[in-house]
Amino acid sequence: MLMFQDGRSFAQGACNYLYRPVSAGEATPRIIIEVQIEGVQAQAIVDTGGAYLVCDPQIADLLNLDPADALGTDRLNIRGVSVPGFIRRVFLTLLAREGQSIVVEVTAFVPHPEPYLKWDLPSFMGLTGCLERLRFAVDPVTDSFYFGTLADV
Amino acid sequence: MDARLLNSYAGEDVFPIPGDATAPEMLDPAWRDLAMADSTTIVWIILPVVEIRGRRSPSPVVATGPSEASISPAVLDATEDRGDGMALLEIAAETGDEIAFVQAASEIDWPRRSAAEFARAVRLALAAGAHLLARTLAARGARLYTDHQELRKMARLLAPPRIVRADLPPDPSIQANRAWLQAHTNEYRGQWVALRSGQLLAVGSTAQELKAQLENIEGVLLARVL
Repeated sequence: MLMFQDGRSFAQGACNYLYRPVSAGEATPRIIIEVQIEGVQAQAIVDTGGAYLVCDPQIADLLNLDPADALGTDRLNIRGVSVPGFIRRVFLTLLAREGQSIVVEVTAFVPHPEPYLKWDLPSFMGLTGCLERLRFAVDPVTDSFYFGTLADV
Repeated sequence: MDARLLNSYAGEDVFPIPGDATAPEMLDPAWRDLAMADSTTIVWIILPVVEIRGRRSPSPVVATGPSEASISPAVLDATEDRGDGMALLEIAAETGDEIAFVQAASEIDWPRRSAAEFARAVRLALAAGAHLLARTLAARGARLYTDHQELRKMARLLAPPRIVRADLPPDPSIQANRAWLQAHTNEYRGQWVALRSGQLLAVGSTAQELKAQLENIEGVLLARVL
């Protein structure tokens, strides 16, 4: 696993990612890893330009999320598009192929896409509200995604 | 500040349509007086994706593009600002202008704002894409108004992420799932698949369909093949 020069660990876990576009309309590949959202195993994209865990509505449907725990009917600006939905906290598990898996309580946004806005994207892990309290690194040679906590800071 | 911020909007290409039947004076006769009384009054016609409750014009407007033909414009007028800066926040949120939103918010005297205004500003910040500011406003509002349930909830939901556990064992099966997805992309692209340790358990057109086919989804990857 990755270490600092002084022997402290940078990352506690690592997994391999898929590297490909996530929709028919785009050519830019994304880093896609396997995670658990509230215990349901799913794919999620590492999106350092985004905010929150934007949860695939189809996955959210399986979670039986209590609306009472949510901030309802907010609109979120996602990459320049305003999408209605709700905000709540969820437990996100970064699954490690080696090392240790990490559970983080993050802010999640569950879109309620409008009829004209077809949602066929996986979940997105943004920086603000989701990945911002983790260390992470990418090795494109092995398609490895390393992640760790800031516990020793 | 207001004029500067307003001028920055005026400089943007946000669909000013001179002579257009949807011009604000056609919608609201009161606007004419306001405009004449204040030469710096600026009115925008904005075609947002976001909805402005109770502010829709009654009829569709000229289209600025095929996808916008059915969206009614919102007419936002700087004269609606009561001097507390909230109207500027609304305008910035409607246009999804994070920079203008942050600038406008920085000039508001927040300690004088009510709990409801804090809560409104948090929602507007989310709409503007100013996510860190939304967190800051929620936390600040919750500290000022400790009994305000909505602000407390906002502060909790928008708080920084929290590591809950960092000692869970690895799950080597995720390697096998990834290998399956790499190998079978062309066969199943666009479909939902259920995988356990690289074994295909079910195929469907939605995640709910997969769940209906499985007794238990614990440890099962539910993925749309990309």
